Amino acid sequence: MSHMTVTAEPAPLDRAPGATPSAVSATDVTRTYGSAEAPVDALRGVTLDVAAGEFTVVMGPSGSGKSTLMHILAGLDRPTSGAVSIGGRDITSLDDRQLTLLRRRHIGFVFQAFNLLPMLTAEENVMLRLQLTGEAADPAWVTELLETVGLFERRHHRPAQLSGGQQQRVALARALVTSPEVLFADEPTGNLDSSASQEVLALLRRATDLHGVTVLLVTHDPRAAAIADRIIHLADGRIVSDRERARDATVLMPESAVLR
Amino acid sequence: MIRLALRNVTGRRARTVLTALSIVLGVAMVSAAFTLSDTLRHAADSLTTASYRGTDAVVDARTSFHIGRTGTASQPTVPAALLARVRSVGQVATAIGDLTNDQTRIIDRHGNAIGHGPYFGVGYDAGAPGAAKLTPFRLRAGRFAASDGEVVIDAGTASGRHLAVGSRVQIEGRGPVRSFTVSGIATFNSVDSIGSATFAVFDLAAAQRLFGESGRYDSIVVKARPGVSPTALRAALDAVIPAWTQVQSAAAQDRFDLAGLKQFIAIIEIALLAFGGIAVFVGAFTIFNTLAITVAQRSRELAILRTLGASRGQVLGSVLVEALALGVGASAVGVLAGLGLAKGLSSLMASLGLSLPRAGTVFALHTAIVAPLVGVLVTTVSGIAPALRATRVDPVLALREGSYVPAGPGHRGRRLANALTAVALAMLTAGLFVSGITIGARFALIVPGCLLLFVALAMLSARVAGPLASVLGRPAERIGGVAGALARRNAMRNPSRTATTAAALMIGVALVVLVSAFAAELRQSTTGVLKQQITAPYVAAADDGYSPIDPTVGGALATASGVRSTSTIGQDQARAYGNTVTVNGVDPKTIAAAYRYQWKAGSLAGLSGDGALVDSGFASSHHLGLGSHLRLTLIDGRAATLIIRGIEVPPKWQPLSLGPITLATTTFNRAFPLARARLTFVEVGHPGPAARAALEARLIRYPGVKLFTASTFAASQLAWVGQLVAMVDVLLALAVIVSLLGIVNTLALAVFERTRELGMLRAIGMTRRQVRRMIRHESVITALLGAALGIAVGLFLAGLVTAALSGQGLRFAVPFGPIVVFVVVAVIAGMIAAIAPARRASRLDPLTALATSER
Ligand SMILES: Nc1ncnc2c1ncn2[C@@H]1O[C@H](COP(=O)(O)OP(=O)(O)O)[C@@H](O)[C@H]1O
Ligand SMILES: [Mg+2]
Repeated sequence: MSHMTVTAEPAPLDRAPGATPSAVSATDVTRTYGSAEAPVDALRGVTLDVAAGEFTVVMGPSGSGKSTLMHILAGLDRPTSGAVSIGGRDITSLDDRQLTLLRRRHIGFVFQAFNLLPMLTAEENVMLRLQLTGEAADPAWVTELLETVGLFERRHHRPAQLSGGQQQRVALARALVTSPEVLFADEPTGNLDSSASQEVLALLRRATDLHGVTVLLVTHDPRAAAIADRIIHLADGRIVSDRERARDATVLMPESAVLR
Repeated sequence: MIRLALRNVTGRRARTVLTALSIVLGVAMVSAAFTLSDTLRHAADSLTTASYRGTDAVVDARTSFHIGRTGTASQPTVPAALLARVRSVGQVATAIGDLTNDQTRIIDRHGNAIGHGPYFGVGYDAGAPGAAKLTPFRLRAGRFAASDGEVVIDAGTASGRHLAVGSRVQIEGRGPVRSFTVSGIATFNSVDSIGSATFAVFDLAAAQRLFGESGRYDSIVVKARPGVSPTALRAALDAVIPAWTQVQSAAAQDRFDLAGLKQFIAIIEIALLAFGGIAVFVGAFTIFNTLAITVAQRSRELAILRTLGASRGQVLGSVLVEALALGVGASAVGVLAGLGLAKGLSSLMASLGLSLPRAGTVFALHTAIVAPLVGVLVTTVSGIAPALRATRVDPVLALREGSYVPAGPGHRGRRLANALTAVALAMLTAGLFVSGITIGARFALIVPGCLLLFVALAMLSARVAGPLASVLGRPAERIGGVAGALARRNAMRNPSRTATTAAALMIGVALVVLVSAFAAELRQSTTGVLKQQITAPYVAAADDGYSPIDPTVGGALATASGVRSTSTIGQDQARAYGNTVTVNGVDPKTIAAAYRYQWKAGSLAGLSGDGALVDSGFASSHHLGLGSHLRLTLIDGRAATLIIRGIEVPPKWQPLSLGPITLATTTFNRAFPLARARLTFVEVGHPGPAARAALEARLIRYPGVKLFTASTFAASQLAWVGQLVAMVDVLLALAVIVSLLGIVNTLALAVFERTRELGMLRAIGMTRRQVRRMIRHESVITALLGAALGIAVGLFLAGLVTAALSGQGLRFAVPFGPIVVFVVVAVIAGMIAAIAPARRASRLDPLTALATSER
């Protein structure tokens, strides 16, 4: 399981046992904003291949294109050129509806802003994601998630009655409730204090460890480096460094937990 | 600060346009009401002038009371000999005899009367030299009628029914229908016809025979010799004519009842103004709500201004200036739009057969002043509460993160709402129940009371809006899945906002429910009373149920096979105790089998000769008992003294409006030589299709007369109710449209406010369709809330009015059918209101939406 692995064939979304899964891949992706006269090149050719179950931290100075990359990889935005695939499936050719369904089932998001619906309780905010797909919520699974993020006691609280860290943990539970293959987190701790940040980072890592979720985390928090499998540095729209961390360097990740 | 306020108006163009539109519509309606009625009045005035221009004097019989030239009483006539007397006066250039009545129906191919009346029948002496100057009729084709079988018809009827010179046409005047040849087609001055009236102009001698007025005229119309003023002519005539006749100007005598037309125009004006006022009032809710929401959304900006040193006064001013600018702009547009709307309404009226001369549009000063003043005042007043709320924004807010949720109506607001409700109810109750005050005083209490009640209820409904929206949102949740569930939560999220938005719709719905409930009561009571009163299986009456029918109808029906007996009720008017009263004539031998009387004293037995029946109310207010004398003054001045032989108790609700005095037919016919009949009851051995067919065969000769049963008769008596309700519904549609604009506006503002949320929902997998559905359901829930409140308030008001009118015998009735319709309409209206905001919400790009900073 290395980021160097190049998948020969696109793997189906339901991973076949034994195949080498590639959760997210980008090939020579560029993204140019603005007008033809004053173009802003947010990404200048990014090629990246993230293996399933890998915990990748993306770092880089402000304006280096981290958010743009996240958005494009997650199907929220389209590259100006280049190809993106999720679970081996090319997403650049999908229409809005197909992208929506892909996001709904296979992708999770956590943003810097918590973006919870103010009129729904914590539990309802989490369930909302399931209801969008029209499937019946498994109460045990929702309870487990709420317990995991430590909010079972407060599941009937509204966002306004929760602290920032708690709200972000609700957002995290909401992202995980559909058991997505990939979770994108764009500066999820940007609005949180140190201890709340630490909790959120730990929970993200647990998602990978316990459920095999592929995580791409954008953060400025140096502590994130400690839990990453891989650290990518962006600068000026390009990948300037891409390091894999030794597995045993982190105490947070028992070997056995990688498998789902 | 003022510049900032104006920037708000110009900056958000779509919102400003939508908000303004809600006032534009109301102001346009007010402006159209003025413009249309001024234009119509001007047209009617010029029609009066033109119609009577050549006529300097009219001589006719003096009447002991005035009831208008057309209507429910027979007018006395003058003998033909009087014409020679008038012509002998030196100042007279031309004088001709004239007959004009309003019961001469032109019958179409299907046997129905053309037009909706008045059905003018005119005897015109075209052969007399100089006659053309004394008539408003101008030939467009052919020639005036010269013999018994000829008629000239109005151009409106001719073109509408494809009749030309030489066509055969059936006309029902006095007696059975007769066939005529169209000898000419005429206009009434420059117009094809007036309103829904028709004209049949006969040769004078032929008309005398046709109307049963041989040797008599309704009036003598006179033109003065050159150099003689009309006043001098009238003075000269006055000196020679008998005391029981009179001489007047043509306009004062008004044989074509153009004064009635002007009254009709005045009613149209009041109705249009009322509905315009309602639309403006509803628009005020939209203005209030929009400003309140934008103040809430801009509270950060306002807080920043306050930290920068803006005073409360300046903040207040900036919001008020925004309202004022909106009001001025919208009113200006509204007045202009009103001119167009007036044109539209007038062509709508023309298409309904209410044509008037196309005189130029009259744009009077009061249109230019009152209409915009109403718009500006209402808009500015609606801005006061939001402006005050803006002043209470805490400057500290500017330093805090997160969106500011404006507090709902506080303690003070709640107490104010309660107080307003109490005042409104007190005004309504006083206006409805206190006895001995004038109609004007009643309206002065009821109208503002009603408006105040709506305002108070809008404030109070904020409290129930949450729970109500929760209940009304259940179906949305069932149907719309997660989108419906979110819509329900969104509707409950800001109850005062949802409540005000819904309140605008509530007003329109409450008023239509009130009118429908009233119509249902009228239907229920009328049907109930008629079924109870009428024991005869069949009733023959005019198609509208109240116009007079020919007195020979009864005789014609009596000879049909299977008929046991017929009983005709005659009806005319006379004067008693200083009031004009309705007098009926019944046949004491046959009426008992057909019509059920309730006796307080006496019976039909004494009803012959100078005997009379009176109703119990009349008897008690004039202290009459059995054997008392009653003095009637007839229209021609004769007096009749009657002896009370029976006192009957009429039902409280009197759909037949038979009036207080009843005579025996023979006495009635002596008092009223025209013997105008109201209806004929028919007793048959075996009611059924055969009997009906036999009777209808007899009525073929009387196309204006229809055969009813007690219940179909009730329906025909109520036809006007249905028409009135339909008209009110159409006019209230404007108010409903204005309230829809309010829903659109609130939704659009909500979409704007929830941009980030929508972006998040899209990002986590909500499809565009689901977004649209969510907005649509929220809109429908709001509309249903408005409908629910409106239905409740409408029924409450109907109950109040019914209680006030309990003396009239009306009983409360719930208009179930219309209520179902209103609910369906509300749902559809909600869907329509959601179209634009939903499209906007679904088109939001999730990333851009998420990047939107908190507001
Ligand atoms: N919607 C946009 N329009 C124009 N320029 C944009 C937009 N979004 C991002 N950019 C530009 O693209 C570059 C990369 O932005 P971003 O991906 O947000 O960086 P990061 O998340 O690393 O701070 C920046 O120069 C930014 O100004
Ligand atoms: Mg960023």
